[in-house]
Amino acid sequence: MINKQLVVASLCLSFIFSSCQKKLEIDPGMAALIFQAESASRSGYYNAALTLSDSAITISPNVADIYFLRGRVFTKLARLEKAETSYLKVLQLDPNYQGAWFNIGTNSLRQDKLPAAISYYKKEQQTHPSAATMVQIGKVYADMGKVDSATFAYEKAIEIDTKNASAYMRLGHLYKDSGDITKAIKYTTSGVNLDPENLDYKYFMGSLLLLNGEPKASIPFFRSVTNKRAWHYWAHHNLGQAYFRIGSIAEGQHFMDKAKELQKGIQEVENWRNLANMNPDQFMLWVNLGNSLNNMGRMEEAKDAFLVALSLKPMNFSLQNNIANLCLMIGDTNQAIVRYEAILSMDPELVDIWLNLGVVYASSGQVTEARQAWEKGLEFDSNNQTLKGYLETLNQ
Amino acid sequence: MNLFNIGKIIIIGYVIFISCDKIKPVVSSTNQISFTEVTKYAGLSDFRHITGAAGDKWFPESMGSGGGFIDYNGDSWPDILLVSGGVWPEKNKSVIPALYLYRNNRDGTFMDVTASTGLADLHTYGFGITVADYDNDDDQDFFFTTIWQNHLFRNDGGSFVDVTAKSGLGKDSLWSTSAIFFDADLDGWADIYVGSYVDWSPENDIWCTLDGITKNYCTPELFNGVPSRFYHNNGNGTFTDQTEQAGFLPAPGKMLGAAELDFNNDGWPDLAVASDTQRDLLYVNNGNGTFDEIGAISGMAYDENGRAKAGMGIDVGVVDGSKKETIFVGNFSKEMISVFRHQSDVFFEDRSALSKIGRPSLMTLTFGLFLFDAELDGDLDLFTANGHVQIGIEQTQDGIYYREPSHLFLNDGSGHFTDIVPIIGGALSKTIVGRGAAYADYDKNGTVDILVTENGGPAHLYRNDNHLNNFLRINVKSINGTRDGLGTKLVGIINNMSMERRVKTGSSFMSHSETTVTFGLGNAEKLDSLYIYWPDGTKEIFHNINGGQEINIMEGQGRLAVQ
Repeated sequence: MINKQLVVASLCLSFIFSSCQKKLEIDPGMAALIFQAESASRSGYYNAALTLSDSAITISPNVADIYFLRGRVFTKLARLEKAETSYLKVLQLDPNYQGAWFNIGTNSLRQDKLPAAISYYKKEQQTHPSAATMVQIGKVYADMGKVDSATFAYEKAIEIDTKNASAYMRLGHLYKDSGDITKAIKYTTSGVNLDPENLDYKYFMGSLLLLNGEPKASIPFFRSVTNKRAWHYWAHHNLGQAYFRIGSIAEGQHFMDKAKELQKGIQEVENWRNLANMNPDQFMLWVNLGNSLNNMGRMEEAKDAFLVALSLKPMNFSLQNNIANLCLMIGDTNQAIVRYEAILSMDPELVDIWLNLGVVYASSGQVTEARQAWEKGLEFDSNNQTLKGYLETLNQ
Repeated sequence: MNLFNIGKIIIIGYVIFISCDKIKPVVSSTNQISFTEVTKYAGLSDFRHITGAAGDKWFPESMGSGGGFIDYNGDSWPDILLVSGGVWPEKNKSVIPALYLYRNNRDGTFMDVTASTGLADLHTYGFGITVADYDNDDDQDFFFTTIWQNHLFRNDGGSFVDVTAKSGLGKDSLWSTSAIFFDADLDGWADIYVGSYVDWSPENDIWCTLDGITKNYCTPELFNGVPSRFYHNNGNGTFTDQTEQAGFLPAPGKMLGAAELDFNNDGWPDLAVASDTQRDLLYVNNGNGTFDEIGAISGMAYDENGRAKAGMGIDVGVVDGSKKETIFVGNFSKEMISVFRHQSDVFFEDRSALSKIGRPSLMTLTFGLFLFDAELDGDLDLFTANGHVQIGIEQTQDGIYYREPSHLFLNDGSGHFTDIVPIIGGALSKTIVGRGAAYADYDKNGTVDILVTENGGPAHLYRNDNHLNNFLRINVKSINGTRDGLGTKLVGIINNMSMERRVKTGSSFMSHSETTVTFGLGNAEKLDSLYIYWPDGTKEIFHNINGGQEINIMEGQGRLAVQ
């Protein structure tokens, strides 16, 4: 039996804004279901998460946490109206539930419903004041062109939490847009100092320096980004511009050429992302988004897109295989194994999956398991030369 | 490609060096600025742009049209030429004239002379005009872009003859937008660059929507771009397509605006091109009438994040004491107006935000855009005509409106601007679906007035009522260049301050402004010095020219003729 307190603690860790202040009397069976649903959601088994939460609701229909989980899953699936319905149910059950208004606000922001987003964030702020919410309020005001209100919100966020890097960065953006580069650099420097590993922050700092006529100083910032995000078109473009401006024409041209190569891929990603978000029930749009991201080496994001596609066609083995492969490439060996085995449990005759499963085991040093997987594959395709070759290598 | 091309410069006389941080003969205040809508009084209120919309929401219906000023009868009073749009033959049997020409009655009013000038019989689906004396016979001809065949009209003593077929400019049937006459190879004949937009036809129309239910107008991402074309003027009334030979291919297409400039000061005209959802282009002249496209390298092709914006109207001018040309490009809503100042060599710096234009322009969709000296204080200000393409946009995007007020960004002389429309209100604050925009001193009182066209609506004539500052207006005639002096650079000096102007066509969006150059003198009585850099590389200098007048200067004559 799963300990009730353990379940609640687990939920606290995984929810962005779960207050966890109430110690509800939760049925142990339901607690187990919530735990499993949460775990399924985290691993990208969105349909399973929804099914498990449905079962939990059947047992105990008045637990806000379940609806909050459903809201987050629906958001992942870009079904924003269903997400909002879930969050509203959360608030009906617990009007002070932390994060519910915040998440509704964020979904409104995603749909360009700016005044609505503001009002939801303000409701969140009334019950659970936080720097994060003030930053979001500022962002919406900035999007609406209300510079003074945005500035006030960001400054308020810093007042609440002087270590909130995001608030400093947003202020930096705001001052940059207003043409005050000195202040923009000042606030951005603070943000970068607070979160020095954040590549988005580094990119913005580089952009500011370039804009300020300091191309040489901007180069290390852009370099940090291009080194870790080979797909980052914008950093490559600006790095090229920076090199040109310090007279390093050959290097500038190299990065401009690289940026040009990346540009088409970036446009493809943007196009598919827009289409997928507008038509979240279109399987192929998510697949295309995943493929375009994967082509650019953005594997985590590709996996996320494929997971949404999989929720629309759960029995698509090819897609499941792709997701497992991505898990492997990202370094999540366990998840890759789980996914390959799940596919094989549905269709054990898929030789390629046995092959892949063996590769995962072999690469993680589990030689016995690898051998078993490849031998199993040979049971279904005794002439498979790849499998034979792998086994031979293993024997050697 | 030669990044650091130095062309020919023949200097006659001496070179002076003037250092200044600001162009500022006088201090002006915003309360001097006032524009009055005089459309009705001028007799222009019957004009309506027709989109031809019949419920299908075909893409071209949302884009047009332009208009502008032309002195068709050579009396030096600017007349008005408006593009009336069109109807779809498949949808509507009735036809409308494609153009309307209004003669300036010299008393603030205009008279419709479309029929008597030979323009009433043309029926098409029109977009833009550009005006020049392409045959060097001392009158103003014009080129008219449409969604099908374009038209060249030759001015024969105040009436127009459609010489499209004979000229060789009517061979293509593409969606054309803005066009610009300029003398690319400095042979003294005006060549023409014709902007092309996208590959659209009723047959490949796409269903676009804002709300997922009703069809709305598409944006260009969904269509393939069509490269623009360049035609060389053969000097005998005909043109030859030299798009490829001159270096204008390959190109991404989706062009909506083009402006002439000479950022490297080599005396050869370069070209800046605004492209919708594609990178903007910068064509540097190789010194022989062929071009290299260096937009991406120069830094003007994309915004600060390397993203292509939705470029619409465009203009170029020197707006501060740097003596460097600055490119201004109108963009979509949620995109700042682009401001790129030439830095050095081939490089431009992004001053969209630094100029203080960026933030106030963020929510509006700018089409027509031009630089002019609104309050005659010596520096160039920026006017923009705004209006969205999606009817009902306010229902889906907060803070964005279909009908929008204009912007008038006043320059403080150092390249920092303030939008004064929210401050002064008045005619320019009226919300419209702005498209074309052009300027001219139609009432010849020295101030520069504004003409704006609306999509599916009227044209607006805004009279400039600032009379506190002095002016000097100059017309040039070239001998060795094109007759109308295209590409001539004029630098006016007053109190050690420098003002640079260029005689050019094109700029803005599908529209044509007067080629008369206006210098704002502030409260000074005269221009201390005037340097004229003719297209053939020669220079003339004049001193102590009294303000308050319009003068004519013919190349090489060494004298001014007062009108």
